[in-house]
Amino acid sequence: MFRTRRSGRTGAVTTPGKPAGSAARRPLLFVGAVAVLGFLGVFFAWPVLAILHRGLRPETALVLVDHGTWRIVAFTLGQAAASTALALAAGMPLAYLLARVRIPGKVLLRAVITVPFVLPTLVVGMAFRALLGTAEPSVSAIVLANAFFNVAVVARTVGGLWAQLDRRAEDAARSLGAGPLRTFGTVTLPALRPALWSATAVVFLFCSTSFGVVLVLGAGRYRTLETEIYLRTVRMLDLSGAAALSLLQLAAVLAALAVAALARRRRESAGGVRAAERPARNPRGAEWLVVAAGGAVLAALLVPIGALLVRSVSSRSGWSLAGYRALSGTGDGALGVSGWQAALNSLRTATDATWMALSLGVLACLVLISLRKRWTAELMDTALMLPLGVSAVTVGFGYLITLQLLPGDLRTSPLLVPFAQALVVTPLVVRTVLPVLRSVDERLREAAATLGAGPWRVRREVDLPLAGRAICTAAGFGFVVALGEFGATGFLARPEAPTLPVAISELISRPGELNTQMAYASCALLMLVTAGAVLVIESLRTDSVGEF
Amino acid sequence: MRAFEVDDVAVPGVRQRDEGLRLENVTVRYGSTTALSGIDLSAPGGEVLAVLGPSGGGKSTLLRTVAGLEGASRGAVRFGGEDLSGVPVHRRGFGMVFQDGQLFGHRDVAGNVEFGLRMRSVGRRERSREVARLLELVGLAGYQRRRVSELSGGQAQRVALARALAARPRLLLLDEPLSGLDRMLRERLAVDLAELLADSATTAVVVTHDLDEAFTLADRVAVLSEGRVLQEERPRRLWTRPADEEVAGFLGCTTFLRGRIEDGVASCPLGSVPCPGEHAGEVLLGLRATGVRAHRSGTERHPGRRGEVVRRLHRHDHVRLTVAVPELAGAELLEAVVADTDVPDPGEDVALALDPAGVALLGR
Repeated sequence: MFRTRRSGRTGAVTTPGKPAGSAARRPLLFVGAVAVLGFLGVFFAWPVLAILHRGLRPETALVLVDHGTWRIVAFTLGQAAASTALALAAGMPLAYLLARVRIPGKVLLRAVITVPFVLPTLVVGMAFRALLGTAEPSVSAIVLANAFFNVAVVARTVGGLWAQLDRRAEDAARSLGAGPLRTFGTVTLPALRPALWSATAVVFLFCSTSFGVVLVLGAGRYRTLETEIYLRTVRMLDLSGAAALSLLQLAAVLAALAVAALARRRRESAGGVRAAERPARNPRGAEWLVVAAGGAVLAALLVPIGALLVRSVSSRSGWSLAGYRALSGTGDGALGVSGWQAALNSLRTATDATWMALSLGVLACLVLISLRKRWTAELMDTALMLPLGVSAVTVGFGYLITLQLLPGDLRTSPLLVPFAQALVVTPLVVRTVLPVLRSVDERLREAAATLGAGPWRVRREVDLPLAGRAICTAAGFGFVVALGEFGATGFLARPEAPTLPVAISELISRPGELNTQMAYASCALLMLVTAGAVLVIESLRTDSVGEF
Repeated sequence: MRAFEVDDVAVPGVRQRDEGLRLENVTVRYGSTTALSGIDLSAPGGEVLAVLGPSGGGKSTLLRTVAGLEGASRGAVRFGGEDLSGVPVHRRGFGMVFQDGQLFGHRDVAGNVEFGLRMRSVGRRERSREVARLLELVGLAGYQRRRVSELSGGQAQRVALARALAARPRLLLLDEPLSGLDRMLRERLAVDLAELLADSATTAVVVTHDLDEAFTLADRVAVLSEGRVLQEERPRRLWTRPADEEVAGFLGCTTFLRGRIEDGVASCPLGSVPCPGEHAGEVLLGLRATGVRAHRSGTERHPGRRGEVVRRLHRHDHVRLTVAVPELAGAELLEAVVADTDVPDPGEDVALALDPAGVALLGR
């Protein structure tokens, strides 16, 4: 008779649930997670908590009922909301240009859009000061500068998803009788919503914690939480007040990060929209209006950059290269080292920060994609993003308290500044590399495993090569961001070894035509290096999966 | 019939080397859903086992469990007698060919094929010799430096096969290896693959929903549905003697009629078919469309049961009819085929006769 044979025999071993490989995989995963979280713990959580601990006293609560505090909170959120709205409005036409229009030299376009985002905040502030021709505080200048800074985030995040949308859904809507506007409103915009949310959350986060821009353009009259924390910590030594404000800011940042995480999840679940054909084509009819708007935004982005360059070669008496010549000196008694020495310091610390952030960020990504439980991964992801939102000043000051407790004299080590910069750069690395790794088909890794590759060998043979470009991009961006980092660096850099941004802030805080000219020349120098790096990165990359 | 089972009784010490793959009471659960329950299967050394079944029936899970990509919540997977539950994927020495190839896009053809050899630290010169041999074996000699994105679907699948074979796997696992390809190519590659597996005496498990693929490749076929093995048999016998209506249905039987076997002949209201060697008794006949031949009425030569043509369907190599036979309890509408030269119109009367080639005996 027929049978389902060999029944009745019971299997000897019971291993509930997990693949056989996981037992061997967990220790490695554990080591990786400990390394990442350990670094975050020692160089981020501990300093921040130490500051909070030192600052939090019973009377700290008084700061929260102070009228002035809430005025600062209101101003912080208000200017961030206005800047975000402006960045969204300006970024959308650019996203459209990037995603849907066939233009020659897209690399250049992408680079021009991206440069403002990686410009040092101090440089952006100085560019707008040069544009306005005055050092008077101005709210509209703050909003414009913040928007200028973040247009790239909107254009790249939204444009990235837009380029992947299947154009045939829009064609279907058109064939069903919807006009172009109706199609955009009912088909395209809903599909872009995850990217829009993600971009909004991130831009809002950046704008509400923006430091250099507000410091330069607010000139003490307009203060945000971030600058207020700086002023209270550095100028007034009011740690208690600074701690209370830091907590407030942390709460706001967590809320923004939560929104961003939710949006990311939805964006990943919208992963099935990848189009087979390239959706870029020549614009038609009313689409030219959008293209024109994009062109206008592009021109507007170039104006502050141009203003800065012009200002750097001007003096009261006409064109002059005095600022650049002054780089070989120490300014009008402003600096302890020459301008070129500061530039060299910048390059050195940024290089150290980049390799640190790259090691940490890539390791973190590998751990994140190995985590099976969705919420553990989400939690760790968010933890990695936190340094973006916590005041760099808080971190910097925290270092001074905690690091003396560590063995080895880290406080005077030349690695101290790179550590702090690495913290700021790591989230960028994660956001650039992680989406690429997440998009790798799991079966590709399984194929490698069946061919005899162990868990870390799979990472090395499959994940790293596939994420190679993204890692290069992250390295490039990380480098330029570290180059311009000012919040923590301004606090930690020793007077005898300032970076270029620190030197700039010193120069503008002192009177004298030469100091001002030297500051503008330094800004121009930083900008040229940044722009060059971005151009190189853009010409190297072909994909647009990363979020920045 | 019991005599058939002698070879299934393991003789200690004799077949140890050729024991091959053995699944014992394997159960796989995802949370509260059970993907596989109590699977007992084996693929003796050198044999090809095909696992056939509808999609979502647990076929891929079965393969992934054998590979070590999923863990069994109960039961054991053994190879050559060794329990594999503690052995991770990369140490099992099993090759796997995925449905859509899953070639490494960042490596060229040679880079893909030699991957497993590199994992085993095989030297460069030997690697390139092996790659050349395998590419020749799968009919892609000289393709070493091609980018995988330039390959057609069939070529990609051949490279995937070469890549899996290069590591000289103890067991080859094939997950719907040909189902992404068009029909002509699929048929040709199935024949190639069958020859290749037979020549190299590779022990293999192939999962498929395609009957032709399973019957072309396999020494034994197991039918898997809703996480259970419904039947495991040699292909020919599975085709003619399915265990029950579900298996028979999956193998193309559309009509079931009660009948009796006497003196090596099975009879039912539509006629009789020879079945030498079958012992007498009740039997259920499973009829495929090809098991019922229709002939235009009026011809005296066909005195059998009659029916009325309800629908007519032209297939690429025959014409299929739906015929109403009101007096046939449980089979009032049945499918039949008719020769291309003599096609009746709907409404016309036809005579029906059984064709032994399309009739299966159930529960034997």
